Amino acid sequence: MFAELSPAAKRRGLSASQLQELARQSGLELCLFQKDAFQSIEKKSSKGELGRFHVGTRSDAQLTVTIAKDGLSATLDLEPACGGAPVSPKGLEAELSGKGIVSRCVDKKCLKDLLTELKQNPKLQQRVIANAIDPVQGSDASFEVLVQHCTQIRPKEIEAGRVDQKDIRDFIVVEPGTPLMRRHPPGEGVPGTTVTGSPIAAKGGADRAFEKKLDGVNRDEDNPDLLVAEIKGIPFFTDNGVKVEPVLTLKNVDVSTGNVDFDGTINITGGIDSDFAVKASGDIMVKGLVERSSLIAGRNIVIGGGVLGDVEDHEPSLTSTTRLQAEEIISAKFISNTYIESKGDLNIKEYILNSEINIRGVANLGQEGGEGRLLGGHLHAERGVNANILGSDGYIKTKVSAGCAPELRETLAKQMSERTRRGNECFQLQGILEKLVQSGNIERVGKIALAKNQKIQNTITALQTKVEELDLTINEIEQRVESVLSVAVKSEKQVYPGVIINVDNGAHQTEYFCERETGKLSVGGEPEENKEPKGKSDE
Amino acid sequence: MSEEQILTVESIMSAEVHTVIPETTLGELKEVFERVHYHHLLVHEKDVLVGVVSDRDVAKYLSPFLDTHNERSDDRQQLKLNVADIMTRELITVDRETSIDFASILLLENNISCLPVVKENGEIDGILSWKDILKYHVYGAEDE
Repeated sequence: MFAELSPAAKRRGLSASQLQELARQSGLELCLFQKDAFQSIEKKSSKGELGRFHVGTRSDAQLTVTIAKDGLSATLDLEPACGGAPVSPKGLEAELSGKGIVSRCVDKKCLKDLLTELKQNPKLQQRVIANAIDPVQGSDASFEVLVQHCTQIRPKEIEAGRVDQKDIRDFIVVEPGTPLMRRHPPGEGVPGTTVTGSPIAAKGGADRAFEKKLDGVNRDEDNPDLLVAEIKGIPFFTDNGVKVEPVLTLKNVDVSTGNVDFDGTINITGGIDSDFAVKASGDIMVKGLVERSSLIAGRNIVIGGGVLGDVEDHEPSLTSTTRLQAEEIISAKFISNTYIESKGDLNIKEYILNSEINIRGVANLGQEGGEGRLLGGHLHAERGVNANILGSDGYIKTKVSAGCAPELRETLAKQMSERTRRGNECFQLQGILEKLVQSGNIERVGKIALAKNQKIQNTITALQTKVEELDLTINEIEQRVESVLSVAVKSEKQVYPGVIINVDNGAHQTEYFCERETGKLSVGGEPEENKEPKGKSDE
Repeated sequence: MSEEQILTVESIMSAEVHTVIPETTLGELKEVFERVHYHHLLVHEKDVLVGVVSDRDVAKYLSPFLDTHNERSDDRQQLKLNVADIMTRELITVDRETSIDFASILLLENNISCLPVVKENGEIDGILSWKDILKYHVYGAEDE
């Protein structure tokens, strides 16, 4: 930009302010004038100098877009216009496009703000206008548990507003082949892009395999990322694996476990606290002490310690808090104030005190050098009793019986009677059916006759099934009755007054009342050996 | 109540049974049938079932002119007959454990309308009528 001083007809002075006003009127006030340019011209004018003098510059706005070396961002620098043209939106777009910046990387908010700001002809430095799109990292390998298992411990609501504080969890049992855990492989991730559209590789997720030790489980044949149960048992899950234990092992049964009901075998390495219930379809094994609790086993009950019942429970029964029920053998070190029911034998090392016991097998007291004493209560063992000591020197009333319980014979009689009645009914129906068949061709009689025929046949079948069931029951009871022919109650060391022994071998009953201390004794046994006189002690 | 229990006579029979003894006269029997809504009475000797008598049996033996102006002198004599003279002695019975299906077939095939329910020793345990069976099939057995 130049100022030209030329001769005028009438000489007049030019002041700096006049020159400044002249520049403004000429639309040049935004141009970049040299320092003291107007004063310098004023001076030259006053001296009468003529000529063309440089006073300043006029420039358009300067836009510069810079892409970072790594391509992860783009910045914008803007030199404002000095009297020249500002940057237009189109100019900005052209600059971004010219640098190869992809629109999806442009910071839309920044761009919007910028377009507003451009009207103010600002000076901008290092304004970030575009960013790379970051890659998305792949997810890590994960493991999904496929069965509901015991994760929460909380009391269950037994009815509206009431909970059982001891019924706090279920122990889930899985069958072979049950899907247990699925592994989800790591994800590959999603690639990102630089501001110019070049791909940025994504990082894959961390891989993690199933735990190496997988007891009781297999990988699915068709899917190596799926674990299935190999055996029936209780599943135990870790972060990346599962094992199936055929036996539920608990340290103790107490408030931490609540009542336990398990389809399988339970192994308790400690003991059972008071007032809990343990139920298993298999065995129940307890290493320690059972205090005033109930145990129901589908197979055996083996208690390393003893069973301490409620001392206030003088006549234990099926409704007692302390009771043991097993389909097979029950073993313990000692038993007190307990109701016991078993289809197998009972093995007690030390003593049985004030208990009500009814078992189908043999009661053995005193194995492995134990005391083997029966004291108080009533012990009935269908196939005999072998003990060391019966009763005590306190002459406590102690009842021992073996062989057929009176109820067994009653049951047998009832079953046989019913078998006869159902057999007769079957016979009657067969007669009715025969008459029906003889009355003509059933198929020509019509639908009702056909239905009648079918109904009678079905009823006969149902009756025959019932008769078969009764035959099985009768056979089982008869075998039980036969097996007690030589049943006996034996005491190897001592029998005290107050002991009452009753042996029923099916053929006859032997009763024995001990009136004074007696040594070794056997009541019952082979029929010819049954010489114990009623009401007298064995001398 | 389990399904098996529902299927036995015990769950639908009437345990309260109106009985008479063989020595009961037709006159007394007539009065009984006039008072009650059922049509069969079980006859017992020391609680053991010995027969069944129905209102039809009574009607069969009593004169239609009884208590009318046409009543004859012989008509009143018939009132002195005993239940033992007219009762059915050929008994078709069931017990508590008999299935309802079997009892239903017995009723239908023997063309009878009720079945005495007896114990093993012949003691009367209850009675099962066709109405009881019909009610069971329509409404099901009542819960205890």
